[in-house]
Amino acid sequence: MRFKTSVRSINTFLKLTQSLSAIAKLAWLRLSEDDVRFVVKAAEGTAVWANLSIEMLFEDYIVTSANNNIINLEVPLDRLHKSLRSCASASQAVLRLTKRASDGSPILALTVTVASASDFLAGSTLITQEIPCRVLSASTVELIQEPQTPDSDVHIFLPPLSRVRGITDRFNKLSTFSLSEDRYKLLLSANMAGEFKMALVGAEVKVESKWHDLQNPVLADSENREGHPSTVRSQTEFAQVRVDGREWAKVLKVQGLSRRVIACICDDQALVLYVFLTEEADPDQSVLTYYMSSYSA
Amino acid sequence: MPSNATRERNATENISTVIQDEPEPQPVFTATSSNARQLYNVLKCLNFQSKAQIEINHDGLIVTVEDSRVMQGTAFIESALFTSFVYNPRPTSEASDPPTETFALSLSILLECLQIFTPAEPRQFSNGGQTSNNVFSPAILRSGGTAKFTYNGPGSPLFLTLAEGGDVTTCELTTYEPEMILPIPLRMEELGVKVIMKAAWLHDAIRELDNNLTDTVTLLLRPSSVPSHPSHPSHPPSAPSAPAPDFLLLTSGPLGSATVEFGKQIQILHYTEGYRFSYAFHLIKNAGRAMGLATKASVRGDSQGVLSLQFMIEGDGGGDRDRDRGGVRGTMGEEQGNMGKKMETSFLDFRFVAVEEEE
Repeated sequence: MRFKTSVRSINTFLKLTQSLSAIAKLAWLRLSEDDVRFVVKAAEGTAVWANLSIEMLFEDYIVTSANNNIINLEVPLDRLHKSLRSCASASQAVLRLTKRASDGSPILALTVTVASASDFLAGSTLITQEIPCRVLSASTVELIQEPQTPDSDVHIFLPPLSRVRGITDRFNKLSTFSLSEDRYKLLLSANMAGEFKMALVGAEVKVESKWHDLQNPVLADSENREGHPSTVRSQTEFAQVRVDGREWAKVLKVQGLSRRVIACICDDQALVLYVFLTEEADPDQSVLTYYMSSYSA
Repeated sequence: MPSNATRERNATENISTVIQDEPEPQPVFTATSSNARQLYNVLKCLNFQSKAQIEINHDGLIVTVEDSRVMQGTAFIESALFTSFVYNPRPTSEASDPPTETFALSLSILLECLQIFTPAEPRQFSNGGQTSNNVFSPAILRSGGTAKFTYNGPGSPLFLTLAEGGDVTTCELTTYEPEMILPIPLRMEELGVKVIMKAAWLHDAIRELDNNLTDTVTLLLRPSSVPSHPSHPSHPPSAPSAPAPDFLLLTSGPLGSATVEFGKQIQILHYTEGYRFSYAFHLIKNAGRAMGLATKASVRGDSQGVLSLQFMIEGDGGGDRDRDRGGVRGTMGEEQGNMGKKMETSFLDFRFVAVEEEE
């Protein structure tokens, strides 16, 4: 079993670990010859499946194992994020799977080359940080299933997440003024006419933000357009989900990473967010998929 | 039923649609502002209590917050601060002259809603007066959107619609019947002291004295070292006969006392010998944010010890209309001329009842 790679974009990796660690502390990291996958699941229910091209994060990437050259690890996101943060100014970073010298337990070793700041000392400094991890067996990860959702009633490109996040923070602050059980409950809704709404219903204040002139993505040829729920319903009819505002705020931390976001709403059931890390024309289709369930009314 | 004047206004405003439709019932109050920042900054100065009372009249809005019945803060927000300001008095309100509409709401929630425009938290009062002007900097508070207020009379919520870029946010704030807030009257004919100074000086003085060792702060006049004329207890501002006394703030406690003496650069416009009253320090500090934000301060005290601290907050030029009005300013005392006039200026007035001085 061998894994070694150079980190191509420390910045992207950093934003990724930041977004994911907002959701949960541990991630299942699946390394294969085709792609890199991070999977996290919060106790509160939000799950993220991040499928990234190797090039999105790495270069000079080598992965070998007896299991079709697939390695499954359980990685502490906080530790990984902190290690990456400390090498934000590094000229080079190498990540490899190895064993700790003292006890032989598996670690991800992040070795960073920092160019010397001094004019007198030529060369550079190497710093290695150890991130403890756990190797997962193929039978363990088989139990981790990507959530299944029915065809969405509405799918829409969301407005810039930075703005949605700013308003969500205000809604959450307004929730603190409420004493009712319903505080932090946000109503997210959208229709096939390019409208997206976010609402907070409190005792003393009701707030609703509404966006219009958004795009509804066209279904791919592979999807059954004729009978798809999004094509048979009225264009202006809203589909909605109820989510916890604090959980929604955590999801929106992906704002720095996202190039475009499609929200798929299964009315009163679930919200699926596709957060693309590239522009539409880019052949690289690296995407983070967020799954959130709707609270019952 | 709207008044005749209102109907006329409706007719002109709806001239294009009036032929087809019945004129829609006009809301009691609608106002649009493209300067939500200043509104936020001024109202934030009153955020020492969460409940506020809002009075609408033809000249603007009067927002009042009360603390412990012995301290009041009032913001005068002129209609000129809005792009449009329409008040249609209900027939019952027209009985009062001039007509007004009053309701109460949660100021904390209103401020939070206004912040949907202005996502970053502005600098705190504790950061000091010298940096306070930074809250007007566009880098900290966003602008460019519009805020529209709508109110339909008792029992209806206050609607606040914020539009910016591609999104529109509608806030529906619960309103309450106003409590009877009796104004703390300042006896203008019995003024014991009237001083104008830079607000920053007052702010610095209060922060200097804020050592948590005393509960009260005392305002007093001390005769200047040059002898004055005892036969003239009250002097007009221009009295050449005697030098003005020194104006001091004093705190004293078991561990000692502290004094701030304002120099001669402050303008003492009126005084009575021996003026001396004390106030609860924590209530004075309620005005701290206004002190930090304002350019000018007027300090007035009457013979009963009622203290008025009045602050002028200048706008950032992002306002809308350029016209002068007597209205609200006129109600704030006759020395507005001395405070200077500038468009997009807002005024805040804090009133305090004196406490028995500790010995």
